[in-house]
Amino acid sequence: MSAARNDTSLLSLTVAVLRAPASLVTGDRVPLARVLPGLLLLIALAGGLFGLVIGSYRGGVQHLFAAIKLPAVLLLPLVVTLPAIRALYRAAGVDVGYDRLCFAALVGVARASLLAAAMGPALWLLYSVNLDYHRAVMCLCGALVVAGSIGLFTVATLLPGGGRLRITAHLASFAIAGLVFAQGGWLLRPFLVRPRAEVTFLRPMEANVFSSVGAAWRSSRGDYRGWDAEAVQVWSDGDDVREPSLPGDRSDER
Amino acid sequence: MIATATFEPLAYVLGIGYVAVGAAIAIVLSRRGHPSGVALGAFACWPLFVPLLAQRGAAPSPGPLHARIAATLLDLRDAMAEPGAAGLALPDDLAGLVDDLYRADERLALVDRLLASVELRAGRAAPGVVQSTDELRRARAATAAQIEAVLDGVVQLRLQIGLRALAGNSVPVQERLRDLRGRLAAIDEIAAMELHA
Repeated sequence: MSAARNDTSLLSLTVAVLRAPASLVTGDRVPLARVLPGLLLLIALAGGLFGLVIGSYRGGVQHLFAAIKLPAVLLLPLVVTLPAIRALYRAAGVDVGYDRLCFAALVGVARASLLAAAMGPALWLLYSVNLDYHRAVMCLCGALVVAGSIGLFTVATLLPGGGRLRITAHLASFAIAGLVFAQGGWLLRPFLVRPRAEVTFLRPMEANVFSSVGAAWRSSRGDYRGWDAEAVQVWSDGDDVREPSLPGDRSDER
Repeated sequence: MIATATFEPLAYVLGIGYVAVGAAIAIVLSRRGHPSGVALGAFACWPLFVPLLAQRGAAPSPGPLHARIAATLLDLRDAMAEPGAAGLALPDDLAGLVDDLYRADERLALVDRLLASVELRAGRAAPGVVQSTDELRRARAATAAQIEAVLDGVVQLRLQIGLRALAGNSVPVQERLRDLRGRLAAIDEIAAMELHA
């Protein structure tokens, strides 16, 4: 068991991340140079595997596209939000170094990726029985929520103690990371791809995740106007009027 | 059919800037002796590797007792996390003890590398070199024995925590850890005595 904690091979790192992430830290010293490449590789492999499963909903080249993009979506919040999150913790009285925060966040994401990959076979089975698109999205969201919650809990446990507003800092950090994760997923869409939509690596940068959520909410209530129709109403000067989106369009696509 | 997306010029500028910073950090880390995996990771995700820039060189390699130190300390933490050890907080001295143990272990690794490189050329070594090698080997053995004694002390401490759970006696954890740190601090003196014996 001890060998698993100290050997930095990918398999032993996986064991350590899943069973005892704290064992990777030696006292106050975070061996970033030793574990960072392995953790990144773990996220790339596990996230890629989960992306492969998601891509299987549409099949073909979407397998590859989703497998490439999903690790990027998982890593984007870390790359973008860590300085802000550190500032939040310090403002809350938690004395956390940037190296410790990087380590905790990477281990959390690695754990979430591994758990998502572990849920892959079940998701694959569901997608292979001609699941409805909206149900497929809900299954994907469910898997991400379960894996993400455990990942966030892992991050919280790996950070140093203390700080009167520690819980507030946790909640604010998770909100910021969650927003970036959601918007990152929107920017790098599509992952599932509707049966009638064309396969593409990336969609053009248009609107944002909130307009998509709004469109999805309206769709669930029988109002099939997409975010593009709303955007035209708000921003057009009357000359650029487009037809509202129809059910099955890609406007609320994940 | 596979469609392609078009992007704003700002997106291209930001992308090129990100890649340029990543390349610069990867080169700096590579020149400081970090392995190629670190440099490659820094190229892709440089914001996560920024803390490494604050370090002066590559992280020291773990020593021969690294595995035992990690296992012993993890067992101690597990014991202190048990319900029977409720009320026993992990004192700050434990973090200091961990640091001291790993530093001593890294020094052992350094000595081992030195001895290995000298032994490769033992056939051609001068008498003075042979004598110095023997002295260093003795000092190394004394240091390793001292680390092992501290690790045994940690195991005893863990057993005392178990005893406290049964008997309800208070265990002077803080004092015990300070004693162990004191033993570690004496490593240099013991090694010096071996060198001058």
